Amino acid sequence: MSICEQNRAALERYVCGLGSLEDFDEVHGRWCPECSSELKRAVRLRALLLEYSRDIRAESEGYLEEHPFRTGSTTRRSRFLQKPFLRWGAIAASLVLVFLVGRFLRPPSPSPMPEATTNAYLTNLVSESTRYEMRDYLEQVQLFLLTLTEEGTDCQTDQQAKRQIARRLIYQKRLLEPKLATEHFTDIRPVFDELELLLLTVADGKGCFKKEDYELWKKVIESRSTLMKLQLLQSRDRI
Amino acid sequence: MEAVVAGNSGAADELVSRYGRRVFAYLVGWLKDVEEAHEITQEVLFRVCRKARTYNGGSSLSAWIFTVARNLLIDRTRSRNFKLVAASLPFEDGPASAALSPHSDSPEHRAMRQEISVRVREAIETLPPRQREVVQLRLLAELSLEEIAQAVGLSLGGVKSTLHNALHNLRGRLADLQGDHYVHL
Repeated sequence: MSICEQNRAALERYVCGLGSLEDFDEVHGRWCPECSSELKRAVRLRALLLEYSRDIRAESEGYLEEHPFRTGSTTRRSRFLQKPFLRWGAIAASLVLVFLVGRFLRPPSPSPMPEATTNAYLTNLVSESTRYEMRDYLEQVQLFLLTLTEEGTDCQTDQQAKRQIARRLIYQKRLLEPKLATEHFTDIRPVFDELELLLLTVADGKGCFKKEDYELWKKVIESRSTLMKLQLLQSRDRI
Repeated sequence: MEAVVAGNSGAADELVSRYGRRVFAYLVGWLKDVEEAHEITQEVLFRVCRKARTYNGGSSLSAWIFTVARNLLIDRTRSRNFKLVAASLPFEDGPASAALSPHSDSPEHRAMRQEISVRVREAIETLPPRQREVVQLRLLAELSLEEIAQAVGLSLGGVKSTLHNALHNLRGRLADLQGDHYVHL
């Protein structure tokens, strides 16, 4: 690199503020017209650029005197939230607040049912269940008696099956005994007893049913108005 | 920066006082609106404090901060369709204006000085964007060539070459101002 080139590089650094004129070869510059004029241009350009940068700085400094930076809010978050434990504490407090607000704004739940009402409700529920069982039982018996009185020729029907049905109905009646013993069903129990006797007669028979047997059962049922009593109980919603 | 990450407000204040003015001057050089430049500087400082933990120390802190400033400036410019070739700023006579002339009280000299300032600004602002950026980072932000390279993503050789071309352009555009008449004002 020639001295002229070195001088030009030194002047360029000088213009940019990266070096000083000491890097310029002054001795060479005295007799080299090119370096000499380059030096003058560089000094002038440097002066212009310095003026430019000083001008901008002066303007920005003047503005900053009136509008300083918001150093306390450079993070935009409050200093309170810059502390991790305070931040988490604030979050926890917010959650508690939301919970409490939600709790107080929630519509009041229905008050618990009084004990007496609850007992009455449960009693009624049990009673309904029992009535349903009895109604079902009586319907089965009613159906059985109807078929028994309407079919009636000797040994032409499956009499063994009829006896089995009778035995099953007797067994069901005995399961209902504890419920029939309650005060609510006192007036109904005689009807159940009548039906049991009739079913026992059917179940205990030997060999083929005779025509006389059918006639007898029919007469018993009609004389005691058993079917009528059943219908009456059901219509009155007693069972 | 570790203190800034830890939430030390004193460290944040130190950061602001050390770099805030340089960032502001750089942005004033780009934008014609000083208020806009102030707002962006505030945003830059906010981002620097917020993202302090992402600074890994691999590059110069100045370069990192000016990278943030530069990116934000580009974002604003894009979002607002801002013309980077900004108009000249309104001038104020500061103490630095006297550097070129010992006779600054004279109305003639003041007018002449103002004309020079406008011309220099125009010359810099009408440089190609990359050259203008490098010149302003050097003159206003006072970054070293290495820091400029990191901030704008160029190699050191690229920065030197860009700066050389910029000075060449400026010398040509301001040739008429480099006469003895102007320099001795």
